Amino acid sequence: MSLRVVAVAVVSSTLLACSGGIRHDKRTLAGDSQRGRVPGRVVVDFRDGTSQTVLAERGAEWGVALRFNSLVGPEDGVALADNVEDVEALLRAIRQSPNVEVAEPLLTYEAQGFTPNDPEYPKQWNLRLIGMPDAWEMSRGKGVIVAVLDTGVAYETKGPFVRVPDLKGVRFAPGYDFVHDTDHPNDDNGHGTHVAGTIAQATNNGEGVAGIAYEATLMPVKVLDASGSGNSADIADGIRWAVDHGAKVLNLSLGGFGYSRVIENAVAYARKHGALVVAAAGNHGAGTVAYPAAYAGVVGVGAVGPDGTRAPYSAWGEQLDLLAPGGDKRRGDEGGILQATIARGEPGKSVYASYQGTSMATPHVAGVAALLFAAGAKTPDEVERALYLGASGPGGWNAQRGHGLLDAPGALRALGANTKVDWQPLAASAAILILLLLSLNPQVRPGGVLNVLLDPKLLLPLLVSSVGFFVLRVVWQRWMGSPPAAVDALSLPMPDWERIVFGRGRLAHPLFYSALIPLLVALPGMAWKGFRPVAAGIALGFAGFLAYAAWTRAPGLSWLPFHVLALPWLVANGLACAVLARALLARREKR
Amino acid sequence: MKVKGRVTFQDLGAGAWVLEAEDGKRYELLGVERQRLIAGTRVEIEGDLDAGSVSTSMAAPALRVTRWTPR
Repeated sequence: MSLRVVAVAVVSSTLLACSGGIRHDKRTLAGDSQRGRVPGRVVVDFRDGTSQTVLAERGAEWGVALRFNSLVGPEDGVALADNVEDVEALLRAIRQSPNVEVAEPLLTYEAQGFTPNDPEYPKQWNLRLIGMPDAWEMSRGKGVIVAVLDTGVAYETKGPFVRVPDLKGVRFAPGYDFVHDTDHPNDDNGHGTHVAGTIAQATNNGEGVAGIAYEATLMPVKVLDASGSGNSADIADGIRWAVDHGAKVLNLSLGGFGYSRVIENAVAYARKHGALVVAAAGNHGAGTVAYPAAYAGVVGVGAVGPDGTRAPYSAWGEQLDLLAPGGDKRRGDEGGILQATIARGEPGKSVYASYQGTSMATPHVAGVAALLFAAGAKTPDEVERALYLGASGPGGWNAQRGHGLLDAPGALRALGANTKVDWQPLAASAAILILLLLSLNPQVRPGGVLNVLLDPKLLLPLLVSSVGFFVLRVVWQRWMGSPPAAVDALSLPMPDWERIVFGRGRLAHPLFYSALIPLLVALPGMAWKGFRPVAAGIALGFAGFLAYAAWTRAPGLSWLPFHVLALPWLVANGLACAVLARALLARREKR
Repeated sequence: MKVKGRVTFQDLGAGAWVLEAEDGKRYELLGVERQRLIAGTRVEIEGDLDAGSVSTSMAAPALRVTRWTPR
């Protein structure tokens, strides 16, 4: 096979593989032409430069008054006919005219999505940044209980406490105050009420501001005192209590710098019982994520300002999962997150306050998680996957931005299509295969790239190791419903099968992200020649997968003490896999 | 532990009082009466790091103050 054919194959296979993830279909749907029609009005696009005289003549001929739409009408020829009795008959007549390019019913267009009537909504840049107008068309969180583990919520008027007016009509599940051990988790600080408002402020009620999942049910769980601090025992108890009382999403806009096994166990309990825990990454502006956001199984949220870039106070690092609007008040209160709450130190006084912090970013994710549960997600794994797949940004994970910026409609769409397969590692494998074949002496080259690639003995192991046995999950979802964790894990590329052994976590195990498995698989190939294409396919798949992981700097590896070691590890092991694949591909006997 | 520094108010979440120590470290102040907390005050503090404390501000490790001396 000539080099030119090889080069064409490289480009075409790479393009083919890459196209899987980024295809956009633009189609005109049946019925689209009926939407937005204005009765009795027709738009006529005459040839450019049509004069007013011609316009008047044609109008008289068709029995309608025609006028140019605007001052550019004499140039672009766009005119309107009003008060038309029989639109279809007129259109038939007009379309016969040689002066006319197009004639059709006049259509109206509106800004897409749902715009609530809350008067302060225009100040909520944060809700538009995550695409809420579109998301509200798909889900409003109905029926999902979201626990707010915080300083309490101003949800009832009782003693010195008031319910803030913009929580009127919001559904509340009974909560608990773990600080004072009472059934009335009222807010004596203001933080918890603000956070609860972002999740489910009364929306489209003509008052104040909007919230994300405003048809969800809030569960106030007070674990922090009036100064905004608390201890690990109350937080752990609060987590378990909320889960046992039906919460599906737990918002923890709180954090500390000490590791607590008690809280970590409570988080694992929540996850095991089908609830998603979302927590703030921390406001110390450094590359370490605070606890509990840093525990496995918790979605750790960093903050962005109105321009969508990470706020200077927001923590980042290996346990960062997502960014969401947390505000940046360096340019004034309008850069913060506006919600209803109580005045600082005055539980009886309602205010609208602009706050900033990863505390404010966290409830955006919790709110969208509630939308996802309401839209049909069954497990926290499904919700988490949709949040990450739907996030906006360059794709992949990194320590600076996690999986990207929260995108509510993106997450809801990803939930419907969570069988999305990342094809890029396969493209990388194909490119490596071509380089390997070119590097082999023609006498030991096993054949052309397509001959090698399309050999099922190589192709199937290559697919399973680079993009995963994804068909399994598609079939399972089609016939059996939501797949169990093992099926989910098997649907992933082979290096991610560690999740079967170690459970889920956001760091990959370095032994799985290495040449170890391809080497073990290659051992039988030494004795049994027929097995070599299988071993070569796996080595090639790992080489492509590790190369892609190194390229995207994702994910972080556990056990390697320094972040900087991850990249050399991936590159070295990717190279080892490529060398192994080359040795397995080479024909032993010369032609 | 003893530490000297300047009291600051951090506009994070509902707000937090943070000591900016002379050695460059930062501590979130716990257990101090509200009226003592005035931004800009220079103080010498005795207290204990509270590793188990969790807060809304997440600005710095928590320092539970036992003795507060304005300087």
